[in-house]
Amino acid sequence: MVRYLIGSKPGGGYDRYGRLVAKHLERELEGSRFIPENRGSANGILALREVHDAALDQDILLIFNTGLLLSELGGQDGMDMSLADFNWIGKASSEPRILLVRKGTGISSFEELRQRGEGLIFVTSGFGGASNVQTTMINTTFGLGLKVVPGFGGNEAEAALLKDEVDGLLMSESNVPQLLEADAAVPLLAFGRSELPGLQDLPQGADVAQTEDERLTAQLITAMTTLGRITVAPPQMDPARVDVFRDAYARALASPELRAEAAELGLPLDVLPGDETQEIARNVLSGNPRMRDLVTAVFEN
Amino acid sequence: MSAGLTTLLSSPDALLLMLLAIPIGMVFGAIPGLGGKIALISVMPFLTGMDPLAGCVFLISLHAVVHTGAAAPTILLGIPGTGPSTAVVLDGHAMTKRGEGTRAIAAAAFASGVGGVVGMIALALIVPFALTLMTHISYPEIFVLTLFGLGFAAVLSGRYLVKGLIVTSLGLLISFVGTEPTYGVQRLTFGSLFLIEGVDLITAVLAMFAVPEMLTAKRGQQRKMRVLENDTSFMTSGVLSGLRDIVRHRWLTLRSSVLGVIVGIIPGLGGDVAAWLCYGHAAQTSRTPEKFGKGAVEGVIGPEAANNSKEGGALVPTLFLGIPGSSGMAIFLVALVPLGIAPGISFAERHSDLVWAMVWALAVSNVIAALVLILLARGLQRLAQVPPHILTPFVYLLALASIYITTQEWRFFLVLGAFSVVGYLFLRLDWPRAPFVIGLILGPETEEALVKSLSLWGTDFLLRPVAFGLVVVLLVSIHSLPRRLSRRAAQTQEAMQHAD
Amino acid sequence: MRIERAVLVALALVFALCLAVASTYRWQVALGPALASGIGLTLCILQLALTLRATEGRSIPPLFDYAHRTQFLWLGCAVGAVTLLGFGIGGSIYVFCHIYFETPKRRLVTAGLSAAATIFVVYGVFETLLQTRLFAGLLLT
Repeated sequence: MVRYLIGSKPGGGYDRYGRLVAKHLERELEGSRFIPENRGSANGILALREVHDAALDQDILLIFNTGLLLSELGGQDGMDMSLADFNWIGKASSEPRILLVRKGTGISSFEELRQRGEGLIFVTSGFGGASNVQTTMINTTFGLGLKVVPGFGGNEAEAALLKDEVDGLLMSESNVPQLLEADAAVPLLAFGRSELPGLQDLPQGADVAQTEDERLTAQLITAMTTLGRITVAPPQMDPARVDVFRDAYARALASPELRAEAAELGLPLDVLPGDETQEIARNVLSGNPRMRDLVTAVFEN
Repeated sequence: MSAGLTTLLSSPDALLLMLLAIPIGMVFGAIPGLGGKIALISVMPFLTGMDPLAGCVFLISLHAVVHTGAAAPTILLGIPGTGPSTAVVLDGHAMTKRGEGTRAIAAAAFASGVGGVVGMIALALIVPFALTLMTHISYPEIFVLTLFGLGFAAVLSGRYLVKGLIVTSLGLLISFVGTEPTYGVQRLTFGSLFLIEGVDLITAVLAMFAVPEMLTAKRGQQRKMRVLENDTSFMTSGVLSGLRDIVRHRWLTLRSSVLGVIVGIIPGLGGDVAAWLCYGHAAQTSRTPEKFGKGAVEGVIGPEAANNSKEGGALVPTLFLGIPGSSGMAIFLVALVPLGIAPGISFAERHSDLVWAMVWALAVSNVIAALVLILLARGLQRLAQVPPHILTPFVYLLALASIYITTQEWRFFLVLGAFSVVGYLFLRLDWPRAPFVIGLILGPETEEALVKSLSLWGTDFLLRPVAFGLVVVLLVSIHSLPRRLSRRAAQTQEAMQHAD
Repeated sequence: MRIERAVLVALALVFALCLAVASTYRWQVALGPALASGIGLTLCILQLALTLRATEGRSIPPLFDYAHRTQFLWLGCAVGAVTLLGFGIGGSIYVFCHIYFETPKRRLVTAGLSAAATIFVVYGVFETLLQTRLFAGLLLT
């Protein structure tokens, strides 16, 4: 039996990817049984700790919120483990991030947001989660004057936007098309190249950055978009066992079955093996000290 | 709507799976600690490749009948089978101790069945307006609704209003222990790691109700109970009186069912809330509110009807918007994935046959489950006739097992011990105990709604039209409450004097 | 009466402590606990005042009389046995003892059968059938 923890609430993107990956890992590892469990509280730090402290012989994996990289970078309370120590099994996607506003605000470009954004309400996931840290960083470094309210997980943020209760979001690209279809939102800015219809020609964060801080923020958010939906194993797991999982992960993610199912569910894939993913993450974690300061400022907020 | 029935009936696979789902769901409900969410998770591996209609019907029936099965341990042993059954423990188990277990189970079963059917009808009537309803109901309205729920705590306290409110505050405070969900702050845990997930509801309810009852169970009670049961030599008289209860309280059954649907529709208010709101509603509208907690059949009917009808309501946001109406529905949404179904904004329009077939399956499986429970009622009642000195150790073990299954943490055994002392003290001092659970259940919902309302609208949130209307209703009912309570107390006294 | 006052004072202290702790959090985190403990504290003081003013005490049945103390002891045994030795072993030993010593005629067969049933349910029903592993005990893990 392999416990596959999902470091987010049920229903969101991590949940859908996690269950997809778990299901196909089970198929690849003959005779195994994968049991997905949602552990969404505190952005999944508790789930990360559970994996960190797992017994030596325990088969336990975790798909975690990429925002935990920021928690480590910003030295958030309770984040006393280093992600670099974990055994990275692989990552499933690159998820470009899209900054968008509610149609009713009348704002149609990032320039307009800079001028008229004062007081608009942007909601994010829990405090310290990826969307929260990134939205706050954009807000402060670009001087937008938005009101950033955390605590809107899963589909809650989209629902609030549809109900005209909030003015904008920074969200993963895969959830944007349905908002555009409902004619509820106007996308303004992208971090990472999106191939989805209506999002291909958006300006990039780096294009609109003027100061050094703005550039660093855009750079960090874009780097993080390449690290989507990461699965890790405990630091102390036997290396041979880690290889078994890495191989199974690579096979599962390359399998036509998984690809067909992901396409049907509208989950874009962009796979990297565990060791390469770990390398990119190491670079982000040991990056520019000013970048670290910018992230730390969010947590001290 | 009728097309849904045709769809359901014309698929033998779906009907067969529905019949299969009913016993599985009832067993998951009857084993304390398991419940609907775990039932859904356990069957998920078998869903791949299933026909979407059959799979959906299987899942929805499975999830729907869990509460019906849960009535058995709740009423007979005083151990709540699932979260929402915590509202039935008080009066259901008190009836069992009075020797009326069969009647309580039958009433619960009939109420569940009626709840399922009325829920379906209400749903059909509400669906056209549901989306509008949802746009008008947001955090401020949810906040005021939870205040109503907390207000019921006062009703349930009867004569001891202040004590009842103290107990409510204690329940609220305990509900805040653990990791705060938005900021990840470890609140009031005083450094204990095992409390970071908070105090488990089942543990608290067991400590407040089941354990103190066992501690104070009298030896003599046993014999009296047998005599009572033997008096009712007619095989099904318990069942009949359960049916009579439903007929007598038909309006309560109906209102609770409708209330259940509405609470179900509102995302963010779970099944526990529906059950307790209806328990409070039953107490508030009862002619004999002082009997609540001591074996009032209305205290079984209200929450049981709501338990089953709210499943229909919860389907609305889940299928129409892809927003789960409850945590069970969130897992339901995920379980639909292997069937190739991804509900979203326009899903219900494109697949209205499927949606209505699910609603029909909900109603039909509720009725069948109710019948099964009624057939089993007499046999199950025997469980409660086991002498206390033999029953007690098993109840303790089952209680500990249900705690372990939900929390996976042995330290909660100690929490059970500690809270049992509190529960015992409240019982002996005659303090109301139900308000504690109401506070514990409504705490997180109240807080989230309040903090989000304040963050988005500031203090103006109470001026939103629906919220404002609800506040006015709340103030009026609070204003008239003391008068009604004292009038009732006077009536009761009078009645007692007449009896003398 | 005295016990009721003691309970009220204890609750008031708990509320006061939590109010103090809550005041160290940011407002979004502090609001809920502060409201609950603030209201609780106020009501406890109010109720204490009411209790002190009332001259005649309600008659309260004696707390923790002999029968209840025995029952508490058994609850303690259940918690202790399961915590230390788990559901299978600790649970069955506890069931055996409770039934053996509490039955007036000390029936060995009833107690033995009950203990065997416990073992069957823990390993047969939960572990094998439901794939749910119950706690195995602190001393045995």
